[in-house]
Amino acid sequence: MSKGIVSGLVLLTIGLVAGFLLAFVNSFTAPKILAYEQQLKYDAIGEFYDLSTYTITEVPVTTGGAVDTLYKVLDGNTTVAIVYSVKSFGYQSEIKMLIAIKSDLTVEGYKIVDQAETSGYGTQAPDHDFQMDGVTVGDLSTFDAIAGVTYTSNAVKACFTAVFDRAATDFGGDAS
Amino acid sequence: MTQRENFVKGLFKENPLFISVLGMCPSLATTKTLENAIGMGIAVLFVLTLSNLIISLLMSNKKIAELVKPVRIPVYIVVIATLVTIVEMLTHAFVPVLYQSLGVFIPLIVVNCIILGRAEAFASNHKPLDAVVDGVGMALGYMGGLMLLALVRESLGYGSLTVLNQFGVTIKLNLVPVLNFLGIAPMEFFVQPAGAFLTFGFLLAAIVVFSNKKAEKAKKGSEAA
Repeated sequence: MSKGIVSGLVLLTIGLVAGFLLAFVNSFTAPKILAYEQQLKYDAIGEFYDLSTYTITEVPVTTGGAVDTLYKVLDGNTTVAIVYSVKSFGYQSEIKMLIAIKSDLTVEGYKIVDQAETSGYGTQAPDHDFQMDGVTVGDLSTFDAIAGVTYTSNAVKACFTAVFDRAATDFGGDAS
Repeated sequence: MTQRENFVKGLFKENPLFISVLGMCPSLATTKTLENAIGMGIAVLFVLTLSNLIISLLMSNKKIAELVKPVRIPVYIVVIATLVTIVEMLTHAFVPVLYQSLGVFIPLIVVNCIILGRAEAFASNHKPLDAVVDGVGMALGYMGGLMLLALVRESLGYGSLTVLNQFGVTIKLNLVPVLNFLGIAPMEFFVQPAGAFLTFGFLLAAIVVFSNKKAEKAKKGSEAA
């Protein structure tokens, strides 16, 4: 057998062993990671709605786009609000937001749950008041961007736009 | 070389951070807080010890060594990458806050020259036990260096020293009153990348001065004798 083939086989064997090892570790860490991410979202939703009085149903969005999951906040059988998990690309990272829309189509609240923007600039976004509380769906006129943080602000704006685009239909389908 | 010397050399004489100046990129980026530095140090300790052990085991067996030799660098990388990925998964699952703050620098341990350097320069031609002792010593030396950097940067930059901020437990030393007493405010400059370079430069200079003095003394001592 030529030397090259032997070397290749050696590498293949080591790679296979490594692969099995990784699969084993992944088998018990992956559920934990998923649970943690879920927990983060529910914690954020819990800030808006008392989770002991409302029930939350999760509706994944399969059609793609910025919105990836809908969390319907139910009081009994009526949808009180929908919390959208939405993402958009900022300056150097993906900004993940939760935006809550009430059934009268106004913004109940919003929260940036994940970002890795430039320290000192884009990182102001999670604490910034974008002046969007209580506005009606579709109205972006009050949106207050952060000076000097254009990319991040635009990403946040894009998140709102994506949610506004579908909010009416989501509630409309539910009310009937 | 005794086992003791083998262990201690990584801490001082051949300290990977301050003497060999290896693995600079993660050391400058992850030393914003003491907690990050400790976390990074533990990750490197795990990877370096196990990679040294595995590589030394592979290479100390004559038959396997002969097969591995032509492809040894890829083999090292596969071994190291596997270990690093395991560390990444474990930190993500069990210490998510630390994982978030270390970010991309955990996967980047794969290309950390300390680990590849020890694999090629030491583990591949020493016995497994020696390699493990060397790995632990080197990793602790690296961790010590990171902690020294973080100590300066966090205390001057944030006015605090965070030892632990996980699982709802916070062990944090507030140094703002001390800084106030000295009449200075926390300087955010030190927690930014440029501050890392400055801190590292000063520490490096201090260590060079110290070791030069020591060498001079030793020289004088031998001349007098």
